[in-house]
Amino acid sequence: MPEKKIVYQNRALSFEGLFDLKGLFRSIFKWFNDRNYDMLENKNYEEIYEDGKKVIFELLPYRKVSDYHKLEIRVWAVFENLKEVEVEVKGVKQHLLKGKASFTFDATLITDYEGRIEGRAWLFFFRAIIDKFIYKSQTDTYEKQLVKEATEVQEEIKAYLNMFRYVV
Amino acid sequence: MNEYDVLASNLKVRYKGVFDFAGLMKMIHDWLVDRKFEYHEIRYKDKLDTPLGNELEINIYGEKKVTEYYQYFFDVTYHLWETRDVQVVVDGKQVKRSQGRIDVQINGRVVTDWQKKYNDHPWMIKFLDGFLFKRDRDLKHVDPFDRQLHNLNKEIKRFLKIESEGDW
Repeated sequence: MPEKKIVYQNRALSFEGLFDLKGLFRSIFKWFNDRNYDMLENKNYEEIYEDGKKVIFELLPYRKVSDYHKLEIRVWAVFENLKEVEVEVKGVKQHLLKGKASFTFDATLITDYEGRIEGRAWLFFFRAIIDKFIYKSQTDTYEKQLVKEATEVQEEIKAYLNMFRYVV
Repeated sequence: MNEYDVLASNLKVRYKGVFDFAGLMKMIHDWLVDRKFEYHEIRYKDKLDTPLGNELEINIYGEKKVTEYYQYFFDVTYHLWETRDVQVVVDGKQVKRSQGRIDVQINGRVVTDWQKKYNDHPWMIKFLDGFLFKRDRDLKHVDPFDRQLHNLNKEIKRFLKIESEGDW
């Protein structure tokens, strides 16, 4: 059974204003793609109401750094009261969305993701010893890397949303 | 014979609004057939005129014998509820569409030894799938198939004109 350790949990980000949802989505995908993450788009929901659209998506990009360790970041986003707005940015008309956006970030370090050790008690005991003494430094390095990357993706989204704060 | 899930969980797309369900089904059918999958519809459940609208559940799968050892399965589940038929004007013409909620889930499996040649030799299967073909299976079959599933997911979002569609 894979063991999961949550190293970064429930970090939230909220924004209200103008943004380009397609561009934001693509920049998140590109960010993970550039860092060799495989994308799993677990959920993508869109609902149209009288007061605007509601969009929810859940991304679970993961990266297998070794045959024992896997890094997983979860991005949960909810967009509410979205309305289409046409603005002119540097003489070019763009179709943007105005509404509320909220993001939640989690990061999990998964060990033994292939489940090779499941079901055997003596292997599980040896695995605990190896994790504690032999793999400890490697696991700590991966944990720090995961926290760093989860923070970076949060900053990337913040930077993208700030792009449309001042529109002339 | 062993089955390997390509994705950890189904790719889910949910939409509430006006959509062309017949067109969506045809698009997915054509997408599978163009990629040489055999199309099978295994469940068609239709509840007409419930108090909130029509409810429809459809399960389809596509199968493709890639090599004499590997076979791919593509599973698609449609669930429509609170739906009713509406007449809308598209490009100056009145057409029939559905208004309501739709949930589309897709997943895939890679099956090894589909001809069951090694059914009487379980140790051989364990050796082939666990050691000899493991890397090949992951790199040449599971990963490209994963990408195909995400491409179909992208096409579905594009067809439903969902805001959060991304390229990767």
